[in-house]
Amino acid sequence: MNREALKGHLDLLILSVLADGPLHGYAVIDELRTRSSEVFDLAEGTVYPVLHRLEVAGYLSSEWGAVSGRRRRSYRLTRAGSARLEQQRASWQLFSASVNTVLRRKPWPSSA
Amino acid sequence: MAEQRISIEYPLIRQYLVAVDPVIRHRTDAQDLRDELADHLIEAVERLRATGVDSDTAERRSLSRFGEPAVIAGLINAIPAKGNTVHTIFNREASFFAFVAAILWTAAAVSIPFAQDNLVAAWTQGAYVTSVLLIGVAIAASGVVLLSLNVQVSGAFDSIAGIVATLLGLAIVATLLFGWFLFLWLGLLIAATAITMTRARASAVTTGAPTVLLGYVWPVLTLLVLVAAIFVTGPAQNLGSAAIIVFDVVALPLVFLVYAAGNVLLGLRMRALMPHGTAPHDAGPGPFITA
Repeated sequence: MNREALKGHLDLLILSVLADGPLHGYAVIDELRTRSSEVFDLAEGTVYPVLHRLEVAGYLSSEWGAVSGRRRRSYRLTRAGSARLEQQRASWQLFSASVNTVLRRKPWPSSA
Repeated sequence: MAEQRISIEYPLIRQYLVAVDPVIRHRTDAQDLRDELADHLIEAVERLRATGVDSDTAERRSLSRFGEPAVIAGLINAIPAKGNTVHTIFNREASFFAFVAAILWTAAAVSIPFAQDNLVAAWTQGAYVTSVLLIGVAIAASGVVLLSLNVQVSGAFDSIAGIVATLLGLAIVATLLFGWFLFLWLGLLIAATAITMTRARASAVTTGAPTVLLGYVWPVLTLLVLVAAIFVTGPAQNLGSAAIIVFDVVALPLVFLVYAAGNVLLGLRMRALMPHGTAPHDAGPGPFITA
């Protein structure tokens, strides 16, 4: 999938992935890749600015733990993040349904 | 201890983190960012190693998937450290102010010959005041850009940003009160610009052309013009001479135009590096319908 097209939807995708529980950055990317059957494949470093921005905005919170002797930051959805996810999900569903409707519409009178 | 381990076991990751460091080292959360990137890259390498990939290939592949260090560091640095609202405010509007500053400096360049002694038209107080006001507002707009760069590299409005703000404030006051005394307000502007460009030279916003233009070319050009001013507009000045016409119609406007060009470069770079999409907390119902 075109990386530029994907960037416009990263907020929704990341919020959605984190809705199932806290994850660290690598796991978020791994989950995105797995859930999309390897279609969503972006420069991994570009996910961190999005995670940080969502945290600054209050949609995510983070906490530090330790794994194999190194520090690891995990992100979780806040209440505001859950609300934001529902809002963006509804917006996306309306948008995609509308696009599908337009694409399915046959010219009238139909020649078929 | 952890850093020693990275240096020994993951030499390429170490190199990557060193490449990222100049951009983020001034931030209050710099160590958190280093640790987070290191954790990600080591995790990626270890997963590849577990599938039988050798260490060197695993590191190269992981770093390739992560992205260019300068680009990633710039994107990460564009997001303020948590809780730093000053950073957010400055970053969001900085590119706009850079373009406004460029327009104002261009207008100031056009106005300056009219503010001089009967050079291209009869001198009027109105022309002088207009020119001085344009320069003052241009300094203010550029000041927002310079302060934004300071906040970006440090992650906070630190003491150096305070010094730059003071220099800029003094430059504006000096312009309004003593606009004819170029050495004072241009000197203050050179100092504020040089300090900012020096500390931001490794930033993704300024690296390359903006640093060359505003960090080297413009200060040197301006200093040369100020030195020329000693000879041209000193005690032995000769109004209407070719030298003074060249100074007021070419040299001084050129200083303003080069500064305007520098602001355009900064504005373009800031816009290109701006995080994608609208900031979440002021977004509307969703980006998909309105985009």
